[in-house]
Amino acid sequence: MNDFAALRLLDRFRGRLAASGYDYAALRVILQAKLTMDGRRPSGLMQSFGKGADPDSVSTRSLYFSSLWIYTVLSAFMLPILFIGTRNPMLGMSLLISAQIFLIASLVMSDFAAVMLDTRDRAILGSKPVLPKTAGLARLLYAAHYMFWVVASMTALPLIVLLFLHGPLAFLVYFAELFLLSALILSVAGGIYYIILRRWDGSKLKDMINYAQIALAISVFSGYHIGSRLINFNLLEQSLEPQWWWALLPPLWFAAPFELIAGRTDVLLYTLAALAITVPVLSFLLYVRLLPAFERAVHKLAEKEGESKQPGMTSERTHKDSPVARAIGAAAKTGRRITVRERLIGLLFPDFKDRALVQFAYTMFGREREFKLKTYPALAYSVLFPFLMPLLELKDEGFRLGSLAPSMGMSLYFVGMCIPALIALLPYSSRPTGAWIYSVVSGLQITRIQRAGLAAGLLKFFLPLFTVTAIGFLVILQAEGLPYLAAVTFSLSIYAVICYRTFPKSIPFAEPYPTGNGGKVGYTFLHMFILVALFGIHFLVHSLAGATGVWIYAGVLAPLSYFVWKYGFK
Amino acid sequence: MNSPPAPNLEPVIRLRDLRKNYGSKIVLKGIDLEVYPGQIIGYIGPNGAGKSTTQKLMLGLEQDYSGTIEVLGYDLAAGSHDYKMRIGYVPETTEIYDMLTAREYLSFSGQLYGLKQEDAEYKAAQLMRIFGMEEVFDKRIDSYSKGMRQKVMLTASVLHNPDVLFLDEPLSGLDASSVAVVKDVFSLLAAQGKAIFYSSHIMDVVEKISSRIILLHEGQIAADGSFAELKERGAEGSLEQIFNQMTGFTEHGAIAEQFCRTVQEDYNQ
Repeated sequence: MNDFAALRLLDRFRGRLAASGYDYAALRVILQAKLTMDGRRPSGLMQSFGKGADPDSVSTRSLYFSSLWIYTVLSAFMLPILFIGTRNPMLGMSLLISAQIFLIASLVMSDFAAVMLDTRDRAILGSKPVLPKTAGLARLLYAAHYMFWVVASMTALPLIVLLFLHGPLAFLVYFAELFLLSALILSVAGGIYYIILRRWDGSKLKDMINYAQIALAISVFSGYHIGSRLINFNLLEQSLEPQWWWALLPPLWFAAPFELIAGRTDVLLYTLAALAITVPVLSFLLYVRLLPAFERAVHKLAEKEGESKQPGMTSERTHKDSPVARAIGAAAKTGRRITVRERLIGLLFPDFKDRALVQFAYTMFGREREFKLKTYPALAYSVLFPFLMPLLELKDEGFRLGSLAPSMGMSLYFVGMCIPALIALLPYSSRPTGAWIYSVVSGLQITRIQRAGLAAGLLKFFLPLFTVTAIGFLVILQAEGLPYLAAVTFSLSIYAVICYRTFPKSIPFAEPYPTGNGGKVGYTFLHMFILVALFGIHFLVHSLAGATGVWIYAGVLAPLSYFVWKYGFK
Repeated sequence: MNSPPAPNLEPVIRLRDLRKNYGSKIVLKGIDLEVYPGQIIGYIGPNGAGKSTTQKLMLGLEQDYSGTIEVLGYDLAAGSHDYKMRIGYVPETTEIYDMLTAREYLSFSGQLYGLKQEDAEYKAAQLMRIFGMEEVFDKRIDSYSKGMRQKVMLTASVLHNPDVLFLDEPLSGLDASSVAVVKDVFSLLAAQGKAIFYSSHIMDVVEKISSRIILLHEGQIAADGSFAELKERGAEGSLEQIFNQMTGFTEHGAIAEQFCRTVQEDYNQ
């Protein structure tokens, strides 16, 4: 196994860690094994598909590192904020830091939750004399190691600019703050997961983790927006008097030192700066303290998963003698009832093989814990974003619903954000070796499996979200919103196929989940731009020709989307 | 082969009224058991009888039980991990970091058991060579056959010279000659004073290598003794027949017939 630079860095803390009761040798070898495995390509199961070695299969590690530039690009967009900072450090830095908290927290939720709640190696590590304390720290350091590179690539540019604009002291403060910030986010996320693991039991636990993902996403999202609004209005009026409630907003804690550097002195500013140090340090220490308990709680999660392996424990089996099942003759024979979803799938996919594949993918999405952990935050965002624009407008109009322009229906485009997120996760499974089944069945083209996976993902996640959001908009906008909704619906259905076509082709459920995002962020951003472009076209039609124009636009898109779906997968 | 425990020996495993349930489903309904050094225990029972649950509880992989579990004198409820230093475990074949090579995995596993890296690798190389696997020692485990994986798992479980071995289907995937070797290895290890506790479904293997057979049925011990003793209690026949008798399973012929009839049937409305 390789000797990684990160491990050599860790060696410097050997004495301190050993003194605190950690088994340093075990810690090091666990991390070494994990990092070594990340440096290898996943085994080429799919080579059996006759395509030869899969050239796209690269190691998790290199995928991860090759996707980091995206965060640097993203951070470039934040640089202008720093120029506000020269006049008004409190405003500039708090805006920058809240944007960064938002990004880092989203990443922690979608990518690192899976690492923190990983139960795969329980039988390997659990049977060995590794203290939960050590195993927990190994887990944390492993997550932190990857997080470090994301944060580094996201903050490298701001750091440099800061050095030139505000001087070396600000540079050093910001540098130190990044560690505090990451520690705070990690420990808050860890704390929330821990509370859930402790509080809930049995089958509820798994659902609660998913709800927590959604709740976290919502709170990070709204926290960011409410926070930045509050500061915005308050500070733009030049009433820069520190307010007591600033102590409630973490971005302001981290911004306060820059105001102090700029020469302002205020008791509250000192308090905020003190909070920026003490709260992250204390919460991180508490988190590290709780690691052994966290580790045991994660094992409990694995036990709950083992439960369903016991015969007779599957709850989803419907009874043979259920009256509904008996009413439907065919289904009664196999002891199941036909659901609305199955009817819908049957309607869309006349071929029974396709139907079986869609059904299969649909079930897989429902059972893969990691898939849910990774997608639910994205799903929550894609419902929240559409309401953001109307809300901002409503705020200016004094919250009269009637004042909302029907063109606001266009913000439904944001629901489409979840489509690339879903497609990006299609190739993965916690049991990738099960994919052998595709290659033993004769006459099964990969494209059919892929199409089925996409359709199942859209049916299971996108369709319900879109329907609910669209109904919500229809209630608010009433009949006038109709043309906009119609055009958005067709436009998004075309968008789904575009996303699918532009993603690199891979077989669904045939690769192990990568650490982090598997290098797909680049595509996610590409698809974001495509979505914005579609929105732009729609907006152009709206501003040139009004509602009638949009009706015509929808009328053009309708047959187009039919053809795209019919022939777009060929 | 059955060695009655010498009176001065302390049991290495002691279970007292061990109970475990998953929600409303009761898996273990009070297991009492003492295992002594030098015993090779075949732990058998139908699917879902609670065999692997018992093993996982003893390994500390699952918690929340009632009753007492003592391994090598340590009470597991006290939360000690020290006993794990002296046990070895062969889980199902899928439970391995197969992205690593055999050298890496064995060195990793050995180091977690407190061996020095060089010692672990040296011993691993020796054992792998004895198993005839020196050529694949530096190849990734995911390129191995099932039997080769099993040999890596077996090696990993004994690298630190444990006193108790827990094995889950230890012979699965091994070819006939390897099975013969491993069977003798078990006898010799037992003669060295190690206790071997393994679960299996392959009755003729259990029959031949166990010094003591424990039959678990519906969460309780239905039979406990050497093969000869079981034969005295039950009727004539192989362990398989005794097994079926004790678990009250007699209709295998009828089920097989029904199964094959259904295979040929067409589905009609």
